[in-house]
This record gives sequence, structure tokens and C-alpha cells, in this order.
Amino acid sequence: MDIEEMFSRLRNGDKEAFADIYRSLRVPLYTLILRIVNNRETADDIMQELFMRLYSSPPDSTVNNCRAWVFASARNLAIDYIRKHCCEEKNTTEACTCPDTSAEKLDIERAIAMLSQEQREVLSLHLNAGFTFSEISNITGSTLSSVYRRYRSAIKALRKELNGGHP
Amino acid sequence: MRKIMILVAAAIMIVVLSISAVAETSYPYKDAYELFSAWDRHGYPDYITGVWSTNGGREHLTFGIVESCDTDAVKDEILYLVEDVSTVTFTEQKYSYNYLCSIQEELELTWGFSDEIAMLSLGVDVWENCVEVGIDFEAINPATEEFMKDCTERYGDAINIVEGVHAVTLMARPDPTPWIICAACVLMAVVTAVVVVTRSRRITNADGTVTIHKHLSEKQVAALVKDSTAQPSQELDSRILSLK
Repeated sequence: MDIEEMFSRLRNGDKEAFADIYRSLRVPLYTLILRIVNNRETADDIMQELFMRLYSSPPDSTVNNCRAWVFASARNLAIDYIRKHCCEEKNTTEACTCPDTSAEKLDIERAIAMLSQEQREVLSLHLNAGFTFSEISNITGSTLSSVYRRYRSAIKALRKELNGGHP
Repeated sequence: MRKIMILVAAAIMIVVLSISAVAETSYPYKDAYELFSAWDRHGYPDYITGVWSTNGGREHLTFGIVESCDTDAVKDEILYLVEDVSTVTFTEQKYSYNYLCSIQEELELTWGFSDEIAMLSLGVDVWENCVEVGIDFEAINPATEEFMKDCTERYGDAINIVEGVHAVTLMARPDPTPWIICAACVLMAVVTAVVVVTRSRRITNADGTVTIHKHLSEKQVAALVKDSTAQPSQELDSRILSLK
């Protein structure tokens, strides 16, 4: 079922739609939050906070892209948290270690953790959540060229890191 | 007179039958390169995404086929056209070469001559199956912003915007048959083959063990990031789902 339709059902009081939305968005949303805050416990708290807010006040019918709206909310909550707690730089490599810990996966997670928060955010929104650069520009409030630059520089940096320092 | 007519008719029948027999057993093209050359001269079918050298030479070519078409039928059709089928390899991609060329042409005509756009290069990338647009990121202005936005919204992943490095004079292609591009593709495949050969690096560690590093392309890095997602724990799942 289309995600926008799920939001429409949620607005109309269909509580089952809440679970459907969560199941559809849990992985890319959690990935984005974790990429920004770099800490699982914090990511758990933000994810819970996000869905509590979504449950009590879902996006109204004037929002024309509810999926982007939820990701923007998740990003804002995560960035607010960082601003308040300044925890980002301290917790680097604990970061995004996922249950699947193959060598390649750990390599990429470590490399991603070394990027700036803005770079990780763009990577996650584009590659994990599937947003276009234009949509990311709207979600983050950055210019399109900034979004491109962050993406390109992130991919270049990751490539260099994963290729053992060779670009 | 009647005998002569019967003999002439029989002779004509024999000639016709032998021509069709030869036609049934012969192939229009000796190998993949001959087929590629013919398409190169006369235009590509819409089910083709690109043709390039498999191993750096012209004796073995890879044919990209549009994944949304009946790929098995297309493969059969190509194999039916080529006598030496060992010279053919197939791969499947999203966009047809003709479609990508039409995007390139449209961009050239719509934006290519504008001095306001910080576009440095434009071309079809057959391996990445997209139109690659090189932008001078240092010279981005509102018009370029609009151009990039328009590109992504209009063409989606058929366009790849990269940081351009080479200044290229843009001009509309007068001849829709893209033979120069295809020749360049074959030539570029030689370069790619060299890159592929050197894509793995062996590093001998201090303890004598050997680590093999793959030399990853940007696309492979992006795929790794894409695969690398974080799963919320079951406990978090149940906490959130219990809200409803």
C-alpha cells in the first residue's frame, strides 16, 4: 500500500495504519537517526519520541509529501539532540554497528562513522531512504548544490577510506 | 516449346530453392563486432542500452539489453543474427541507449548553449547507464541550481550529476547516429579493462599474512552504503508498536 495512503488512514483515525507506517519506515528512519547521532541508545530514544509525536499529531492533509515530512522530523529531532548534548564527536565508532557484522559491513560502518554529520545525513537520505537530491534539499533546507557536494565528497572519502587510502 | 518452358521453370525453381536454403543456413553477421558496426552505421534498436568491449579488444563485445523488455527473446534475436555466438555477452540495464541519447540531445538543446549554466561536460555513460553531466561546483549559480533540479526531477536516475573536470564545447549533434560515441565506448572499454585488472591489491602485512583489498568504484561504494542499514531492536519495535 502507498505510504501517503497510510498517512491518510492514520489521519482518519485508523490506528492500524500507525503500525503499517512504522513497519514501512522503521529501517530507513532508524538508519538516518543512527547515522546522525552515532549512538544506538540515543537513536532508540529519538525513534520512540518521533513515533509518539506522529501518533499524537500526524501530518495534516496540507502536507503533500508525508514520507519526506517524517524524515525531516526525524532529522530535526536528531539534530536537536546533538545540539543539546554535543554527543556526536564523542561516540564515533560504537556508531552504526548492526547485528550483521560481516567484515565488509564493519568496514563500511567504520568508514561512514568518520564522515561529517551532514555527509552521513545526505548518504542516508539518498541511498537508504531513496530520496532524490531535490527532495533532500527540501528536507534539510540546504541548497541543491550543497547536497550534491556533500554526497560527492562523502562518496569520495568513503572510497578513499575503503581502498586503503587510495582514491 | 513446352519442354523448354518446363526446363526454364524447373531451373528457376532450383535457383530460388538453393538461394533460400543458403539464406536459412547463413547468418547476417559473422561476429559481434560486425553486428555492432552495422548498428553503429544505421542506429541502435530500442532494446539496446549500449555495446562495449568485454575484454578490451573488438573480438568480444557485451550487449546491454533493456531489462524491461522480453530479454530472452532479444538475446535469441541477437544470437540468431551472429554466426560466432562466442563473441557475444549480455548484460541487462534500465535505459535504452536511444533514450539516453535523446536526453543528452534535449539537454544540449535546452541548456547547452547557455553561458549561465556551469556545465562542463555532457555525455552518455554506457556502463553506468545514464547521462553524465559534469558541473563546475565552484561556479554554481541560481541558473545552475535550477538546471540541476530540473534534471533530477525530469529524468531521475537516468541523469548522474558529477563534479566536472574537463571543459567541453557543447554542440548539438547533427547526425543522430552516435558512431563517435560508440567508437569512444569501445576505446574506453580498453581503459576499463585495465582498471578491472588492477582492481584488487594485495598487501603483505607485518605478520606475513596477505590482505587482499578490492579497489572499489564510486558506484560500488554507494551500493555498500545502500546495503548497510541499521535495524531497530525488537524491544524498540514492541515499545513503539505498543503505542497504538
